[in-house]
Amino acid sequence: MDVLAAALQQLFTPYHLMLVLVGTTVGLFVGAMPGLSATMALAVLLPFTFTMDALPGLIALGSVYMGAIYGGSFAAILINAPGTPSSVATTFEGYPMAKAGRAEEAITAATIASVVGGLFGVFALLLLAPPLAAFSLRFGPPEYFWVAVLGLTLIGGLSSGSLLKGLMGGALGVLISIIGVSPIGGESRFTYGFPALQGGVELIVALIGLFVIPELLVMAGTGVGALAKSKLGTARGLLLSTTKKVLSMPGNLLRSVIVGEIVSVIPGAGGNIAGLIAYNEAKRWSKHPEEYGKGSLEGLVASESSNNVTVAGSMVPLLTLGIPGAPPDALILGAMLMHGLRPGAELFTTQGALTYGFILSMGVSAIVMLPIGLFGGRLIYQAVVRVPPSFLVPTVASMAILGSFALRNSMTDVMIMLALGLLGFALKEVGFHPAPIALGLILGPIAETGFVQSRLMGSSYAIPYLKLVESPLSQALIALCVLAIVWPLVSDWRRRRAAKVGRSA
Amino acid sequence: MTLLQRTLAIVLVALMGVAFAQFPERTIDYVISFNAGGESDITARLQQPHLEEILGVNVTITNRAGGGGAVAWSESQRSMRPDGYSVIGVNLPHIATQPMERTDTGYETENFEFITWFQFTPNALLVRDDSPFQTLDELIAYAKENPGSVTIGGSGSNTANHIATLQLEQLAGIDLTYVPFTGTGPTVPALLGGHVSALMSYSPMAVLQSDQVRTLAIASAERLSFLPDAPTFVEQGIEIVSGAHRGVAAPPGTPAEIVEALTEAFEEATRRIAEEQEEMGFAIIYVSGDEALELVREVTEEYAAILETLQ
Amino acid sequence: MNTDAIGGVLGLALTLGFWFGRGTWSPLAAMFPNTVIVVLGLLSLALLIKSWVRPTVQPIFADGNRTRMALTAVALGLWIWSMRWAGFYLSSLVFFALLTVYIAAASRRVTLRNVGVWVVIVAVEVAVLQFVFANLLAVRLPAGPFAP
Repeated sequence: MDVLAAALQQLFTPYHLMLVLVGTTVGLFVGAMPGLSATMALAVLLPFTFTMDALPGLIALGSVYMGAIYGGSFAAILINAPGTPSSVATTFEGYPMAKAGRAEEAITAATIASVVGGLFGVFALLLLAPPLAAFSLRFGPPEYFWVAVLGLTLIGGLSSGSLLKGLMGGALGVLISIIGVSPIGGESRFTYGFPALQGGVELIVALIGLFVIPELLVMAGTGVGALAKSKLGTARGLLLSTTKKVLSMPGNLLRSVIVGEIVSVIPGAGGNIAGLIAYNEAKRWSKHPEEYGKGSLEGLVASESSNNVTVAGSMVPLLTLGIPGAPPDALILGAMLMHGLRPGAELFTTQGALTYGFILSMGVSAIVMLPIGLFGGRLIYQAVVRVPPSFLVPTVASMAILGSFALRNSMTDVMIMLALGLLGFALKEVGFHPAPIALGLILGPIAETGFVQSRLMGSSYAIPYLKLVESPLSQALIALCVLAIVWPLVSDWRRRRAAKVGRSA
Repeated sequence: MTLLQRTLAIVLVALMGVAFAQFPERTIDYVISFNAGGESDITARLQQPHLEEILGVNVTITNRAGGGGAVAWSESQRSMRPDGYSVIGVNLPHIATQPMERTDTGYETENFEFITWFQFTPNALLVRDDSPFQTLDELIAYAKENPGSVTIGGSGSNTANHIATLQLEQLAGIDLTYVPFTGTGPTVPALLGGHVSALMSYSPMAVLQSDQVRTLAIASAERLSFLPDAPTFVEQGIEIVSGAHRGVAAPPGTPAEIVEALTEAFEEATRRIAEEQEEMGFAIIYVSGDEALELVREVTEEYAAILETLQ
Repeated sequence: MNTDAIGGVLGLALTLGFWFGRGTWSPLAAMFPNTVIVVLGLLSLALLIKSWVRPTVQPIFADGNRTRMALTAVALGLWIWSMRWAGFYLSSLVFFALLTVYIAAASRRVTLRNVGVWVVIVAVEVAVLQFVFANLLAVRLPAGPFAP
């Protein structure tokens, strides 16, 4: 553990700690803006890190990344906008809580959950990186396909009300995700004569449209801000009582962070669905499933704790194997290469002090999120509450426009955002929740790519599709899919029978 | 100032600018048609500070990802101002093959003012370091006995990786199964996890992953200085010299003297980062002027011929 | 309103929209979208049948003033459309201010003085947004003829 001591010594200099503080703060505000992703913030920062030393450069990138993923929860809670795809599930409970006047409680809980998640991720990266990396490599195309199918079974839990409409939403989401150039074959699909549509529908653009525009229009229609029920002035002891509430669900926290860790080490699938899966599991195991969708603290904590695990989680395949697990990691890889650092075993031995210093700095970043988040969160929250709806509607609208533009510098994306927003509003009014559509959007490409690649990999087999069920891991995933479909039916049947017994008794 | 006064002022300044033009005098927008974090993006961000120093103006990098680059390329030919203040990164064979294979591509291969091609990444055939295939010959021999059972992962369809795999099949008379992935990123776990038998990737991957993979063959004309132990396809009797080129272009109609000024600046910037780039596995080239267009034509013809045989 | 019937019709319309957007794709590229289109179509039909057998009936677009929702949506559309040629600053200034006055007028009396003050606030807010995105985040916003 000499190397850890050396790392700590390197890390704890005023300069490095200041970088963590500033980086986390900047990340937080960037993440809080819908559409401004962690990837963008890191890209802007990257050239500056070339001129810095390796450790401070990496510290700056890591802290901004950590802060941005957490900052996404603010937009999710306050204006129903998933600031990053990973905070989709946060909107399900956070926004209803805010509407009911519990925004501050939601922000506090999200902060504590994020700190827990962030720290867990760092510990797992420190202690378990090699076995986790080996585990992540077992996922090939067939396994990716089944992961996507498993994700799609969440529709059952997410389509509040009508399962039929939930499934339709999922199918629509998948079709929208197909627009553009096909991942296999490179052909243009559903471009309707517009070259710009080759780029397809960017996930965040669709999410902003589907989640923000309907709320915006309702706000305009009623002339009442979404947070009208919130009072300014902190309820006394809110921090303490919320902390107690969050920490009194250790089972939920543990389950969520483990889900986050497992999902995030699988490169490419990770971050976006970790929150959703953790949320769904929390709901399944909950004693109060009826509160979900109406502002359940449990659901919020599940989503936020798991999505902050993914920051360090996606670093597992990056540092051990040189595989960027999520888009922001590619930029961190770029910075490492520029400083002559090559991922792999060497990083943890000869370069150990530096690598561990970087990992630990993410832990420090997770800790400083607590004060920064509570303070910054309050500021943002108060601003949103104070602003009258007549300003809030156009402000949120301009953020939605800027956010969807900034991602790819494309006006087409802004138009797609609005079009999907209006479609989403109409659908929502007739009982289609946006969550299954989002799920289809996220998982469609993973499912298709995995399926077609598996089919190709099995070319020399008598029945090529056998490739899909060949590996034990695939079979385990299939079992999980079956379980995910059958479980709700069984528990529903048992509940009904219990109700019947209760009545006849 | 009133709006009118301000407009007048702006117009006046603009006119003066035209009269005393000394390119460049304001921010240059360097568009990258791929996401932040990709190789094209990182190369551009490496060049950025040097370009700023050489040109004396700000250079901003704008990512306009989509359609494997096609969205930004089509936009650059349709609506970018040909004044030298907008330049766009271009990639071969992408700009050659996309218009051949797709509908609604929205741009033409040769309809750019090519500034310079500065980077070449030859294809590299990689296997995991514990793979039974020690040499290219062993892989070919195995594939002959077991047609279709050797799977080769690579980045995308109709890409340099894909075409090189097809060339290998034709030249060696074997039957391989090419499995396209969405970019070079996801190919690595597929190889390391044993989901494909080998990768047709690019030289930087061979350098980056050098302690986990073995390079069976590299598609450069001669061995590369930064990968001295990797044999070429050619020296093993398979005539494949191919890969991906990276360069930069201005929208059609950009004045020749401005393109020349940019060529100088980009070549100088490339020279300054050459050493770092080679360490990362990129071969540095300086193909500018008429040669730049010549290269595009060569690649286009070569790929058209191979894709023809596919149909 | 019978929301199941509307949902079913919408679903069928989207199915047809995607169906006719198909092209001449290779089998591997066509397999997945074709399957999902058929699934969406079948689900839409099922929903239509359900709307007939056991309909869900509830009011739609009932949370607030429908005219105002529609006009806000139109304003958003015009805002985005005008950004292309008027630039981010100008079109945002106009439509931000319009929306502010329009939504405020729903719940209170708006004097000319109010409007004046609000326009100034809006001008500053949009300028701040423009600054943050263009200068700090290096995003190239549509400039238009009057970019600051």
